[in-house]
Amino acid sequence: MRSRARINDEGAIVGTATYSGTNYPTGSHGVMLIPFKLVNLADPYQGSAVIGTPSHNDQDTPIDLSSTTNSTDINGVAWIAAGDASTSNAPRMPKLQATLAAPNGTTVWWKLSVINHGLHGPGGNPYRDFDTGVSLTPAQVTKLTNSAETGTVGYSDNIAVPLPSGSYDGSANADGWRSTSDGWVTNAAGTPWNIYQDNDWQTNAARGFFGGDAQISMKVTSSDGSKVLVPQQDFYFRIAGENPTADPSTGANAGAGACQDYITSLYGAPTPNWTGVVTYTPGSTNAPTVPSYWFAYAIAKEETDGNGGRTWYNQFRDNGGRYNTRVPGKEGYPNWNDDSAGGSGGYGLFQLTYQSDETNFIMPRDWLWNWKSNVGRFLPKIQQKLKDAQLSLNGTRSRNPTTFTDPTPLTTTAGSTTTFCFWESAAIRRFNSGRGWNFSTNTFTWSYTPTMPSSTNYLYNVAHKGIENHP
Amino acid sequence: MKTLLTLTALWLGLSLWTAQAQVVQDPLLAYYKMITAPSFDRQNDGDFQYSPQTPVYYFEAELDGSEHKAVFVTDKGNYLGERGQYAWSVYAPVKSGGYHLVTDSISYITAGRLGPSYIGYIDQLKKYGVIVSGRDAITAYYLQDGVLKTQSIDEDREHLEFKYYPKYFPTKLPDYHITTYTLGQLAQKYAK
Repeated sequence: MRSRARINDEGAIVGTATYSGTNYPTGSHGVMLIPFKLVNLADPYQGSAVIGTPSHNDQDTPIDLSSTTNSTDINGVAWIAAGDASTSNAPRMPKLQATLAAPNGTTVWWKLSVINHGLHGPGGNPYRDFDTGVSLTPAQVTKLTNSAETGTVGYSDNIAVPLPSGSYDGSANADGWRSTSDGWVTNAAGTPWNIYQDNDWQTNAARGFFGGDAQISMKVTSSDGSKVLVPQQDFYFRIAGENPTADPSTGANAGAGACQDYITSLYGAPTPNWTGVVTYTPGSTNAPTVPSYWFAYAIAKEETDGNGGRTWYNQFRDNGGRYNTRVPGKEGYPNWNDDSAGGSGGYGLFQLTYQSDETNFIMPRDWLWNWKSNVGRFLPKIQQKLKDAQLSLNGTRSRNPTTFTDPTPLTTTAGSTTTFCFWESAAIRRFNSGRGWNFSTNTFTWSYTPTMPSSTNYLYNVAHKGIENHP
Repeated sequence: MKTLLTLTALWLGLSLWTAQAQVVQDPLLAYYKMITAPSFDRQNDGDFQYSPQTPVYYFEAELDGSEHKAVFVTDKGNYLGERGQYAWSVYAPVKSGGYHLVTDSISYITAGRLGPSYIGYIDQLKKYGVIVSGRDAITAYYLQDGVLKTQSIDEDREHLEFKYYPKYFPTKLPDYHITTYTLGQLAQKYAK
């Protein structure tokens, strides 16, 4: 088909080929094979290994675009850099750059879409946010489908660059590119499209990290756009997340790593410290005053134990599967545990839910794709749980004014050696579900019921796996 | 000693009689009275407050395989706070007619707002019952002599994997034809 191929001055491979399509007369024609590449530019960091690839962002990484559908090729993934525990090394979206060596005097058109199909349903599709089988309120639909996303927090898991509405018409980006009104970015040939510098990319990333199945499209026209030289071609890859530094599964330092370091830097060292120091005002509607949420790291370990084939601290599924079975094409997806059929499950390191009384997720996407964002959400949630425990205590007191006894001096032991004070056990248990402590109106005493009706002993798991390091 | 034994037996008899006496004809009315009583100890005990708009979810299902359906009922006041789970109360039918409550504030059915993923024949137990899942376990609830019993299944695995139990965890939840009331509607209904 091709003969006497060579590289011309523009870097294109030229030759002849016999064409049998419908747009041009059948027969021999001159052709150019124009090199096209998509690269995740170097952005060094300390990240975990994902299926045989030791590091993804310490050098320019070409993205394999050979898949004809959403890629199951691990080399067709642009990774969200994990960063480390320091505030200066935050998680970062991929630094994508697309290059097409089109001849001078032509115009190249680009566009990119990224859709999170999640892990829901057969084959991961339909993803739950847009599942036609569920009923969303108009406000929820607006949040999830409005590509402009009027708020400052990103909910949509369907990202377009440029925005289909062409919101940045006429305003050139830093590199001279501009968005057009029909959803394409254009520029003269020869200049790479630095996607990570695109206004719409940056705006979307600022509202919340995003990932999933990506499609980059390009076409080439004459300089004035009047003649299509290369019709639209679509290429497929994925954007996925890397976990923070992998942890040793055994040994004295088991559990240490960027994730634990970051959590404990926010919420305290992994040492029990509430006993005797909780400031509690009976009848108050405020949560007790506590020194720190020292057990946060242990909750994250228990919540993500074994997911994605890694021992713990799994914001993402390294192998794409729930446990040890790899699922090609899902590596690096946000870790979702649908461990409560009919409920909503949870996402990421702290298995967060948002409007969790519904069977849908309406959740800021940053909690899914940015592990530090997920960690940050722990604080308001655990504070609310502690307040709930206080209000519950008030309710028990008011319902049993003559028989009530103060439970706060009580403790309970979980795991092998870990003892929690009343408030610690109440807060941890409530972080999962239920309340644990119950006041008997027959014996007028308090008792802690360790197991959920679903047989889960959450407090034990937090102590055993999280604090006592039993994988 | 004999007197003591006699008194104990009498007390037990009274207790059983009391339990028998707790048969209700209208489980929804009984539930409504229970959750609106000042002494009710709801699960959702934080900032939540009951109001006329508070939803109450109700459905009937064959808990023990007989034609006499049990009543499952819950409400936002018994929302467990995470993962979309509610504490469902269950009123089981009694042979003499009516229903009696087989759950309490510690032992209840945990399931989402649309109900459990499975109610029916449980192969492992050779009994009819309800399947409830947690992160690490599958638990079966079943009736035995009018008492709700539990038994864990899937003990051979470290973690729960739904894929091994497609019967109990279908991709689409069963439709229990749940009726949603509000407390305001129930107040009107039972004011008559």
